[in-house]
Amino acid sequence: MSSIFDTESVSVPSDFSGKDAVGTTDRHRAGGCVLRELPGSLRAGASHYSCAADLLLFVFGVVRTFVRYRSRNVVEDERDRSIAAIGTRWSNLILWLGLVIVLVLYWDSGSVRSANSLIGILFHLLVLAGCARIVRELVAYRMSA
Amino acid sequence: MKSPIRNTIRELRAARSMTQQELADLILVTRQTVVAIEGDKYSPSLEVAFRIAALFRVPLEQVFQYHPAK
Repeated sequence: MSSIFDTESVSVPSDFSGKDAVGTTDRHRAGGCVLRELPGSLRAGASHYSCAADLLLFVFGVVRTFVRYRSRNVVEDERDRSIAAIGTRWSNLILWLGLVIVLVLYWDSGSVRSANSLIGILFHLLVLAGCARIVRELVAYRMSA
Repeated sequence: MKSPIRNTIRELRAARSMTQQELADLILVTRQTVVAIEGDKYSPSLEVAFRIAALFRVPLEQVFQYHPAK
């Protein structure tokens, strides 16, 4: 008998690994779309900066996934999941803070003048968020080892 | 940082001559998680706690005890 509270779709997996797999598939699909559209965009004279940013993000994601599987740094149980959640929280915090600072810079003083510098800032922000995530996860593993 | 939840998993495991890896495989976690639980560094989820108690065939409160900081 189904409950009236069963609002979640049947096709959506409820466990973390299932959702992670769906997320990874979507990410790869998005990356594939970027690669498919990129040559056309370049020919059509679209902004090289946005194409480079898309490509950079895609390569960043592929390399990160490859390194993670190669080093066997995969999420296995509930402790790994909770530590990964802590790392993600810190990463998101850094990203949001950085984006707010970028917006304030742009809005207030107009110091972000070109798309080039903006992409540079965003890229460094991503790297910083990734580093913060790794460091926080290492600390969490160290604290609960 | 120590968890306020203490446990007797090490004693229960030793009484049955069970290794950390064997316990980890039976309760579906990694050996590192068993090490962390035994060292009071990590509080497991209710599901894992019940799995451990069921595995050793003892009540939950015999495996885990709550000692809040004063």
